Amino acid sequence: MKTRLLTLAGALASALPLAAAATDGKYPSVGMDYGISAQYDFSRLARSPDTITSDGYFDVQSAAHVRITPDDEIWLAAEASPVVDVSPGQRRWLGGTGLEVNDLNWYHQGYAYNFRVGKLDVPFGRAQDVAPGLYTNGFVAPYALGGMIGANYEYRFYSDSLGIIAPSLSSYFVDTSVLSRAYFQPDRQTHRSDGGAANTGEPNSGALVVNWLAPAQIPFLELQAGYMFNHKGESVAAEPGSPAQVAADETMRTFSARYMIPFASTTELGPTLAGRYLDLVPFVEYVDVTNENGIAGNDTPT
Amino acid sequence: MKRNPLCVARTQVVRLACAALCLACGVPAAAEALRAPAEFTYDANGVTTVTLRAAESAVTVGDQPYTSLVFNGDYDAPLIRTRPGGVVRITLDDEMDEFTNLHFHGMTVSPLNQGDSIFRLTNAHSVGTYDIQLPPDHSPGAYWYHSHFHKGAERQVSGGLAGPILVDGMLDPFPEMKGIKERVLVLRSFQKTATGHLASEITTGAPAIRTINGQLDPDVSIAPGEVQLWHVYNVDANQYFRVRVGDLQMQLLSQDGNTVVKKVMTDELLIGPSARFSVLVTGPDAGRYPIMLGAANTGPAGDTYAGQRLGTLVSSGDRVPTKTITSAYPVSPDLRAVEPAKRRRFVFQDSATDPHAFMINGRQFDAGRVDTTVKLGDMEEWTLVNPSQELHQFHIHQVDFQVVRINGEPTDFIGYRDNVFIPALGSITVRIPFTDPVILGKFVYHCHILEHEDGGMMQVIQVVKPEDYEQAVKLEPLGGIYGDNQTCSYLRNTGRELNPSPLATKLATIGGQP
Repeated sequence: MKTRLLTLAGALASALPLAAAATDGKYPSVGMDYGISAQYDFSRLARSPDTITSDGYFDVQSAAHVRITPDDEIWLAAEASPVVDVSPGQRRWLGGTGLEVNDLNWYHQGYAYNFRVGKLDVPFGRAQDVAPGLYTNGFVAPYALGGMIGANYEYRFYSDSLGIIAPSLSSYFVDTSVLSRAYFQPDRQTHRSDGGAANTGEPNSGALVVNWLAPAQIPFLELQAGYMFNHKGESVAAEPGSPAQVAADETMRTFSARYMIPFASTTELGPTLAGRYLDLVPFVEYVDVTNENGIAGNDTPT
Repeated sequence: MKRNPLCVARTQVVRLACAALCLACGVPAAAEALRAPAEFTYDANGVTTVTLRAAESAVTVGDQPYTSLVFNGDYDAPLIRTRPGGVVRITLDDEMDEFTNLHFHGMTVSPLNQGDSIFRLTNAHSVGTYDIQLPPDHSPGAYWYHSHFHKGAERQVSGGLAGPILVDGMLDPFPEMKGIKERVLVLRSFQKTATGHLASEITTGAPAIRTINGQLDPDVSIAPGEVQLWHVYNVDANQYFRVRVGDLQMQLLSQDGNTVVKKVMTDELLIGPSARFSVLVTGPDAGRYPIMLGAANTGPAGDTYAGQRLGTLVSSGDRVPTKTITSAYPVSPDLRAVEPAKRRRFVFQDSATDPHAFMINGRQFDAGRVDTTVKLGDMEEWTLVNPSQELHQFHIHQVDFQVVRINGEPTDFIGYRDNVFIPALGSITVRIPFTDPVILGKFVYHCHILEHEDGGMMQVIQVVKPEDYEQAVKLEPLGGIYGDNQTCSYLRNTGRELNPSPLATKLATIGGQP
C-alpha cells in the first residue's frame, strides 16, 4: 500500500519583499533578502463527527548570502513559522511559531552546474515552488526535505532541439546539531533518538532528480522525474496512528509536469506592462511514497 | 564641462531660499525648469576629452539628499557629445572602494585594446582609460555609457554610474528641421532607503524616486506649434518606463540611435531598460500637460513599478510655425531580404531553485569562456525564447539588429535597434548583421534587466575572420582567440583594413521598406 498524492495547481502565496541589503563590489560581501507570506490552512475530515482543523500563520523568511568570490557564496536562511503541528480539530491562529535555520551552506554557481554543501533543502518535487499554497502537511510536506546535512550537485545539459536537461544528485542525513533547534520553542530540537527517515548521522540517503525544461518544440513545458531513498533511522519515529512501529527505509518516486499556456496577444510589451496578461498554468505532480517517515507500513491506502 | 559648479551651488542656494519663502507664505513652490545635463563636447578635431570621477558622493536625488555612487559628484551624469568619425577619450578615475568599468551602449565601435570591452576592469582607487573611435559612418543618435561590472552593475547603475551620449547628425537628412531645439531627457529611478545611502542591494519594484535629469517633476517648456527633438534615455538598471505626454501624439525619429525608415507616430513610449527614443514633440495649445509614467508590471513572476508624474510640458507664448519632415527618410537595408547564414536559438530562463540565478541556454555567465562564435560578414537569425513568466530585455553589444518576428508572427520594419523585450512566455526573432569589421573581437549579449545580468543571464560572443572560424570554435572553452581583448597580437588588427564582406556589399545595394 502506498501513499498517492496528486496535486493540481493552485498557486496561492504572496511574497512581499520588505527590504534587502548589501554588496560593495568587493569580496566578501553580504546581501540579504526578506519575505513574508500569510497563509491559512483549512481542512475538513468527513468523519463522524466532522473534524475541522484550521491554522492561520505568518511565514517570515530571511536569507543572508555572503559572497566570497563572484561564483561562491555562503547562504544562511532562517524561517519563522509554525514548528508545532496543529492538532486535529484545533483552530489555531499564530500558534506554535518557532525560528529555525533552514540553510547554512556553501553555494557555488558554475557555468553549467551548481552545488551546495552544508545544511540545505533537498530539491525534490516542485509543488513547494510552483504551488506554494499546497505546501501543507497533507500534501507536500512528506517529501519536502528541509534541514538536511549533505550536498547537492546539478548539471545542466543544453541542446537546441532538446532544451535543458538538468540532473540533480543529493546525498544527506537529518540535521541533529544545534542548528536544528527551533528558537522560541525551547523543547524543539531534532535528536537522533527521534528516529525517522534519513536520521542516521551518515550521508546514506539520497535523491536523483531530472528536470527537463523548454524543449524547442514545446518551449513552455517543464517536466521532473525523481527518485529518493531515505535510510531508516536508528529508531522509529513517533507517528500517532501508525499501525506499526518498526523502522524501515523510505522511498519516493515523483513525476510532475507544468505547462504554461500564454495568450499570445497579451504577451506583447504594451499589455504586459499594463498588467493585462493572461497565462494558464496547469500543473500536475504525482508522488509515490513507501514507508513514509521511515515507518514500515506507514502508507495511505490507495 | 560647461556647467560651472560654483554657479550651480549658488543657484541651488537661491532655489532653496525661494522654496523656504514660498512655504512660509503657504504658496506652493513652482516646479523647476528642466536642466540640461553638464556636457563634454568635441573639439575642432572631433576629439571629446572626458574625465569621469566615480566616487561615493553626497548628491541630491530629485529633492532628497542621498549618498550614492556617481560620476563627477552629480547624480545627473554628464552628457558626452561626439560625432561620426569622432574620438572619445575617457579617463575613468575610480575613487570608490570597488571595481568598475564602462560600456558604451549601442555604439558600433571596437571592443579591442582601449575600446568598448567589458572584460577590462578598473580597480578601486585607480585610473582606467578608454579610447573610443567612431567609424565615419557611425549612426547618429542617442547612446549611453554605464558601469558593466559583472555582479555589481545593477547597483552601480542604479546609484548613478550611467550617463547619456549623443552622436550629432540625426537631423542632417532632414534639413527642413535644422534649428529645432533638442533636449536630453535622462530617466532614472533611485531606490529609497532609510539610511540616506544608496541601497546596498537593489530590490526591483521597491519605492523609488523617478527623475528626469535628476530632477523631480520638472517643467519642460515649449511654444504652441514649436517642434522639439527629445532624446529620451532609460538609464535605469531594471525598470520599464511607460511614458505619455498628456494625450499628445509624438513622432518617433530614432530608436536606440537608429533613425527610423518611415514616419511612425505614437502617443506612448514603452522604454525598456537601456532603450532610447528620439521623438519630435509639437507644442500643443497653451497649457500644462503632464508627462506621466504609467504603472508597469513585467509579468506574473516579474516586478511591479508604481506610476507617477515625471514632469510637465508647459506650452506657452505665441504660436510658431510647425516644422514637418518633408525629406526622405534614410534607407536601411531590410534584412528580411537576405537569407541568414545561420539560425540559433537562445533560451532566457529564470532558475527554478535560486531567485538570484538566471541563465541563457542553461548556462550562467563565465567570462573565461566563449559561448558563440560568429564569422565576420555573416548575417544570423536568432530566436530568443522566454519560458519564464516575466519579461527579459535582450541586448547585444557592438551591433544593431532587426526584429523580424514576435511570438512567431512577422512584424513591421521601422528600423534597427540594440535592445528589445522578450515576451514572457513568448519569443522574439531578430536578424543581426555581423558585417562591420570594426566589431572584430569579443563582447557579450545579455538581458538588460541588470538584476538578471548580474545573476548570470549573459553570454560571450566572438566575431572572427572567416579563415579563423574553426580555430576560434576550438578555443571557445579557453576564452576564444581574443583572450581578454588586450594581450593577443591578433588584436592589433582593427578590421578596418579588411575589404567589405559580400554581405556588406549586398546590404549596401538593397533598401529598407518605404
